[in-house]
Amino acid sequence: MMDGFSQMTFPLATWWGRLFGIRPEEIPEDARLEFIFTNAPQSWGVFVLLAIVSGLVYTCLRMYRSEAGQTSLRIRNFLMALRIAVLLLVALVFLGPAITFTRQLRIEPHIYLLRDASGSMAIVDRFQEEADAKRAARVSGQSVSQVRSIGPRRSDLVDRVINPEMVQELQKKGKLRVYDFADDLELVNDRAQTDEDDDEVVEDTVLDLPPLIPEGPATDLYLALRKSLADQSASGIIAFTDGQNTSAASLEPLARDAKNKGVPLMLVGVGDPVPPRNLQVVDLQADSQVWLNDPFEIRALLRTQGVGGETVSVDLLESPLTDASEAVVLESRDVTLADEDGSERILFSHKPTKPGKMSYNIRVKPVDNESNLEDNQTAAPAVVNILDESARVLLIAGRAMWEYRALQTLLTREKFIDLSCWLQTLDPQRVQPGNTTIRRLPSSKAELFEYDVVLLLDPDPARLDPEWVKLLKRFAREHAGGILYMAGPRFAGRFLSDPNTSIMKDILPVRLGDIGSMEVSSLLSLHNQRWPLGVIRASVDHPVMNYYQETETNYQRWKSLPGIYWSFPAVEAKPAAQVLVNHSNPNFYSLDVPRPLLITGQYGSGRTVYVGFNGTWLWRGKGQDNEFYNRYWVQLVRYLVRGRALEAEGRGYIESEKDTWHIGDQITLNARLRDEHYDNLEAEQVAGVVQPDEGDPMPLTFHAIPGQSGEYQAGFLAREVGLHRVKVELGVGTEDVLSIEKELSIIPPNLETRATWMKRQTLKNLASLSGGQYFEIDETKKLADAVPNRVRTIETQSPARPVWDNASLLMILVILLGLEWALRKRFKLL
Amino acid sequence: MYRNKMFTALIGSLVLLPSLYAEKTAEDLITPKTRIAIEKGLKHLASRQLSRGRDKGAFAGSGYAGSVGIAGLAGLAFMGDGNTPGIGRYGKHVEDATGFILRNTNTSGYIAKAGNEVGNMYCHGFALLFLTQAAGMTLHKDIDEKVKTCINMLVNTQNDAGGWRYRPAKSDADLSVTVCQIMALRAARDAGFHVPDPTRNKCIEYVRNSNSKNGSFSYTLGRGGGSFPLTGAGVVSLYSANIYDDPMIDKGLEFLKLNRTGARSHYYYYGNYYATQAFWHRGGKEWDEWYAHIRDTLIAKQGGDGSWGSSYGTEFATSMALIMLQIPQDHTPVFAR
Repeated sequence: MMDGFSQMTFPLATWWGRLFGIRPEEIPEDARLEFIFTNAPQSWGVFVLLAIVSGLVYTCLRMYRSEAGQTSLRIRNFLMALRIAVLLLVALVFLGPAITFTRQLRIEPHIYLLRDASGSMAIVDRFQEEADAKRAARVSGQSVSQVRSIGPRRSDLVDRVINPEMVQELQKKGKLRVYDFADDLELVNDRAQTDEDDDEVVEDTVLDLPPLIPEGPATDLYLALRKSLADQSASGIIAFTDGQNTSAASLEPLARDAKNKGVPLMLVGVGDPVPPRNLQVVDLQADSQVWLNDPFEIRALLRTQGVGGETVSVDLLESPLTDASEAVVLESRDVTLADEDGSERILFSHKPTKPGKMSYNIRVKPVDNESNLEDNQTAAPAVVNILDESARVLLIAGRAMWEYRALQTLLTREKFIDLSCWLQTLDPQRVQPGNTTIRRLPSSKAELFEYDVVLLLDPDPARLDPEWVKLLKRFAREHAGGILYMAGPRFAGRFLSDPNTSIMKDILPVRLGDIGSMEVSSLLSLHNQRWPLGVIRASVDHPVMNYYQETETNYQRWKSLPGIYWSFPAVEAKPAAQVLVNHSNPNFYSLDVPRPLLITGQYGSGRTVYVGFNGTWLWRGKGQDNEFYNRYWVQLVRYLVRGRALEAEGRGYIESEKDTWHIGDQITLNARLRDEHYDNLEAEQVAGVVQPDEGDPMPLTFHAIPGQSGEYQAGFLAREVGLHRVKVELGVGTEDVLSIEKELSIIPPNLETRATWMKRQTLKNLASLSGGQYFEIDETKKLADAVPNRVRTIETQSPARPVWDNASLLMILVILLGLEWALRKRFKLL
Repeated sequence: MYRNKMFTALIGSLVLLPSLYAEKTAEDLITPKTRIAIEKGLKHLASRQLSRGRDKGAFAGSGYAGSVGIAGLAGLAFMGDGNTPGIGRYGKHVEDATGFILRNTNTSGYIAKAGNEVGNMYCHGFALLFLTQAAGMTLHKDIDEKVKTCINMLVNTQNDAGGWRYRPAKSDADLSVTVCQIMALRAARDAGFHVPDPTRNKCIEYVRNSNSKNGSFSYTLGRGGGSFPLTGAGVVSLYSANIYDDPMIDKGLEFLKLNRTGARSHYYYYGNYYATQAFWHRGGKEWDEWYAHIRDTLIAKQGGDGSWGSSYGTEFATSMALIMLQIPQDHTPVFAR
């Protein structure tokens, strides 16, 4: 009921306020006060009200005139005035006098300021185009030649241009939310939140931003933009970036979404937009353990940019692990690169002639005008432990199956293996094959413990002594010997259920279920359909399966290998065992778990492998010289041997899933530790340390794995590129301190370093699609002008506060009526 | 001085060249067209096998079909695709062939179908070769004993020169039959059976004595120049005795290359069966070239029904062609390098 008629502005003096019961502090200083009648009549109601009031006043006049002669005129007029005053006061209360106040509110939208903190922002660009070099020079305050030689990092340029003036100008357009983004989005400073939390903040306070730290393992520009756009109050997004986006998601739909929401993208390109000439060693791998005089491969992946078709010189370097400065060039090779930019595989073969731990690296000699010379050699060399003894392998087969025939030939030819075979069906007049021939199955502890690995290919349980099987159990548990069991259609069922041999079930990393019924069902089923290998993507980097450095290539190769016809109906892997390959037949599920075909595990201190299928000989013919068949078996043997060779004087070892990790990876380390009596260590936790090649050591705690005596686990985040040595000391405080060590290499993330030049055109397109604008690094003064000004001022009115409903007004009424009553009493008018 | 250096560099390059050559992989050699030819051939061969009756497992048809030798060769052709007794797409066919040959293995150790007039030591050799591959893979429990008996028969019937002829008796010998038995004995030895050293040594001696000055191997001792099929057989038998560096092999392979087009159609499949194995063992560029030639020729020769034809019967020719085409897959142990 507050229209133009009833509403009136009324400056409120303090005493008036007090009169009507309003405290001054209730009214904001900047408020505009108004006096209103909340019950004022409208239209003809006004006349009705006036008529009623006039009628009442007239009645009053008539009444007091009729009292003429009873008292003096002066008294009668006074009494009449009192009565009329009461009537007017009641009429005023009827009108509902009230006050209200109006405030003006400033609505500020959010402006997102995103800083690219990925690793590529640490690049020092060469700025091949003169114009780009001049821009960088203007921003950095250096000369063009300085920019090109020592130049600022991209992150330095960002720090220079995001200065207080720019921030202040932007703050006029809204509240700044500053984020750094890499693989995730991290809040740097939130003016919006600060303002809401603290009313005392003064508007012109300039945000103080910390320097940009470009160490992120990836550039998820998609994530950064998506999260910013999710804010309904956003009015603009400013991003300082080189335009690299390692996310798989496309940015264009986001830019269109930004346009629909009216949130333009203001993108500032940082870096050299011309793809640089660069050679980068992105990956380097070698087996962590090799044998003396046995050639091994050092594999590197060289990424090339702008050097297509050129011939480059590549060196293979070797140095003792303890002193990288003593590196010697083992071999130099000229490599002619493909015409297209991409990846080039470099493969060196080296025959070690000295035992011990050595580090190997690949160095590419710089080409003319190469942009980055620091990545021509990886900061994380491959560490190789060269053993001076051959691996002793005992191969036992139930009969001359093709698997045995192929494997026996392969392992006999392998230089690092000293093979002894025991073909159970071999004619007694024949000498068992192998590098070291045997005339009987090694049956004593002394004989069996001479070996590092025992391979059992579908052995015939009838030809094995139960005591020998028990000894085999000790071989794994105490001797850290590696054991592989490959099931076969002829003997597997009997071998795993026969009381004399079934204790093998304890050793194997697999749970088998009811073998009798499974075997019957297996016998009844046809084996005429080839099933592809159910390769587990997460497992293809396992040392047994590692054909290539790149996971996807590795995965695809494994998937391309011939599948299988027969498999043993195992149920699932035991806890802590790792399934590498499953059966792909959807009908072969048990307890919602696919049938496992290849599992690695641990029994005691020895490594174990369960192979639940046969027919790996079908993989012969794949690759050069049966490459994939050969490497699979050699890697299996190496894996099994490694468990034994890793033992540090029998007191334990530290191992990880792989030896080379990327920045940002969470590295998990498993340790098996024993006390001075060679019993499993019982401590709840063991202190360790990670020592980077450069930098301070980082403490690490190995925690006992519940239920697995002597097994410990620790983890740390890969933060720094380079060689890292993990160390645990046993027997600290005694005279016999024993150090158990493990070397790991940490390399930059692949995606982040693949295409590091600034994507100017991409950024321009995105900005245009969003209705925004692209800026060069020296044009950022225009940024604030380009951000839409969506600051709005609105008026808010407080609820009407009645001014009649208070003690003052009641008192006036009482006084008036009381006074009239007293006078009438005095002059005997009652 | 300068010329000396040039000469050394030239010789060095020539020595290094073969080792630098990267042999083609099976995936390169077995082209999609070859794969189709193999599939069609295997399907045809499977359709020729008897699936019931007394001769279940034999291959019906003309010529030598129905013999244990054809069953052995056809079984080897299926094995080349990765089938073993009872396991694989054609596992049942291999199993049936195994059963058929075992049923026709006499107590004397001679494998021959009763009443089969064309059965002879060729068939014995091919059938035994097949059994040695099936041993260790089949569930037939009598296979080991029967193979041992067959080996003993061969040991007992080897003539003084080290060879065999058409009948299981000590008589004269020819290289063709002899190589058949040598391959079977070598395969038996790989499978863990005992083959006396004197028998093996005499085999090698016989093959060496069959070698002629022109690099070929002759049919019978003292007969002079040999033929394309026998030279292939001779070279393969030396390889199977683990002899890899021998001038006889080099000259034999040269002879095969020179006479490749001279392989008489009558012995085309038989001759190339050995010659292809010989070049497979040789490896490298020579193998790549040889395989490409034989592959293209065989594909061109294949009939619409997937068979290959020969005067010895389509089952014989189809089996031989399939063995040759599938060699790069390196599945069957006896043909493995």
